[in-house]
Amino acid sequence: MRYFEYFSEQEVRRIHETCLRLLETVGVDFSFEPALEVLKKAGCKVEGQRVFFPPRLVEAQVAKAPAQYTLQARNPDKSVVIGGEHIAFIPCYGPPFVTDLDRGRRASTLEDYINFVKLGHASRSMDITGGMMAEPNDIPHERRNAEMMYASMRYSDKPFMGGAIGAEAARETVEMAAILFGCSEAELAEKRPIISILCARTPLAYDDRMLGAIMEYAKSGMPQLISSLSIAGATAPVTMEGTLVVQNTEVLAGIVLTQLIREGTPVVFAGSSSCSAMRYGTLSIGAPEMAVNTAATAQMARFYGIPSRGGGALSDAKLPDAQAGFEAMMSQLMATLSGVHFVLHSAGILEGYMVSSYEKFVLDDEICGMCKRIKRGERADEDRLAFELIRQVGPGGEYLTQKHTFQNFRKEIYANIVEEKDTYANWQQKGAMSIDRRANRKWKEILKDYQEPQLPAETDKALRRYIERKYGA
Amino acid sequence: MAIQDIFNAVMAFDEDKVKQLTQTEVAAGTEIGAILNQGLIGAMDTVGERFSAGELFVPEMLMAAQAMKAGLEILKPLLSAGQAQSRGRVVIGTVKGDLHDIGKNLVAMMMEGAGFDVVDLGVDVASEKFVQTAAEKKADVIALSALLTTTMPAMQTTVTAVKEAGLASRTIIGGAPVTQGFADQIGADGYSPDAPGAVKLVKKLMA
Repeated sequence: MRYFEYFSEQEVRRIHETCLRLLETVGVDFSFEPALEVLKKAGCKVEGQRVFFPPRLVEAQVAKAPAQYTLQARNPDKSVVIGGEHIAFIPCYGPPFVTDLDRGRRASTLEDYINFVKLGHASRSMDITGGMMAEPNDIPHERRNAEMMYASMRYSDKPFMGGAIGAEAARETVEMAAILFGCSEAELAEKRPIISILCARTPLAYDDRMLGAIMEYAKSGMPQLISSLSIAGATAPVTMEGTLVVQNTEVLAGIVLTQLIREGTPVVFAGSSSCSAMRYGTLSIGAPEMAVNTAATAQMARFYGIPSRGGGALSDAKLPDAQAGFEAMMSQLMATLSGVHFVLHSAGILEGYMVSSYEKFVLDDEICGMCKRIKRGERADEDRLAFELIRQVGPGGEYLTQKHTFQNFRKEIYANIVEEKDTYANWQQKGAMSIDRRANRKWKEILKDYQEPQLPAETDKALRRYIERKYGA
Repeated sequence: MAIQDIFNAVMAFDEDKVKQLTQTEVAAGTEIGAILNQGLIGAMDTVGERFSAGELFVPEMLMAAQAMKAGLEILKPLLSAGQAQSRGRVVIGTVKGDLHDIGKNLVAMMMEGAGFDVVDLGVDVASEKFVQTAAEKKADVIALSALLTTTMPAMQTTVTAVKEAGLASRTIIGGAPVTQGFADQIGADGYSPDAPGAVKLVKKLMA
């Protein structure tokens, strides 16, 4: 499969050169003394919190980031390759609210978080679990990261996302992962079971908490997304090109820091910029401009030879309705077609990151299945062109009874999860259900049939002991 | 009719023209109150209505507010004590630990456009700073903003501090993760899901 490319090679180079010029002459603010020291020592000019990057330093450091690496899962069959021809889907991240058709919109709890770990675990399209899929508002702030990490470790054996709020959360995530794998932190750096998302404070700045976590993860050799969400017309120029330049400049600055701390530490070149909904002055993520940025981000990351993050099943809709469906498919498909490697928010997001929806999680899982089918690619070789078969069947024949169809249809044709494809009469007889009602029934079934992967009792005990020692029983 | 021209210039987002026309009217001896109320504030009221109806977008509304302010600066030294009195004074800021300010800035600009006197304390503002400034400036309303769930508790701290200081100022809160339920829970006097709503809310609290 060839990738969709938004810009010409010449344009990519021009974008890159504009970013280098910004890095050298305008600079980026780093409000964290240890980061300033590292950058100064490497040859950056530092004035207060403003850091000016020599272009040669940027290019040399960015070139050190690996093009591909593997996240080792607790279950080796579920390890995930980041980079190359691979695409990884990861569920929603960050919403403080959840919603479902039965109970409506509400503040999310740890129970919701655990449910989303289970849904992510059971999904055939999700490669990695959260990461703050639903914020556990019922748990004290200081304890939240540890409880989320524990749930991700216990209820799924896929790789998972680490905490990002400050150096302490990063440290805690690494320590808990070392307990889970029963290994030293040096060995953990070889396994890389976790990946985390760290964000610039756009435009052109990084704050102390994110820098603390970036530095901590880089020291530990844990993979991280260096991410920017610039908002066209609000935190960046209203043109998508100008927004891309702001985003790209921030991401490059962050990646330089990671490589200076630990050469070759794995990163993802992560962009999730979009535009303002100008009627309200708010962020819009279900926007065609978001899709443009996704394609452009993939292309820029390819230019740098670093895995990319972009897209997601993103929507501004309030319900799992038609708007939610078409917006989600637009950006998920764009990520797939443009060669993105890491797609955060691949399931569940509504209201521009404010809400995780149980029903939309299932509907997006369908979108993800379809996108993975498209991504799998075809080979126009003799066997698959099936000339011999077509000759045998001849004009006017049929293929439904052919052995070739029988033998291959399951792997060739995508099998839907909740989509309705039956006849009208049958659909009516089955209760004439809309897609959101079907999704409602489906997530309950998944949770009912969920089977917990085995975790050794002593590991579980050690993890609980770690949490209780820090935060009490 | 020249006051109508000022009204039209605000509606056309033309800052220079508003300045020039306002100066001309002042020089011609037109009543200052009429220029202010029928020209500048009248235009902003219409801008507000067209914005609420979805005809005008945020950048246009902000440009109109800037044009209006340019005219207001010329009138300010000429206003009598009664005319100079603003609709009310609002102290606004993003709470401690939070550095996000787009929403807060939008609210501040819209409040200024609506004729309120706004004191913007910026981002990462400690509760003591809110209390101190509100006391000094005799604020009618203290408006708190937060984007992060981790900084929402700082809203509670601030609302409590305002009450403990015995200030007459009312507190209002807003930001993406904030809800009416949270406002009730922490004892804030009001909540708005968006900037135009915040202006209406302050008008209501001041009524």
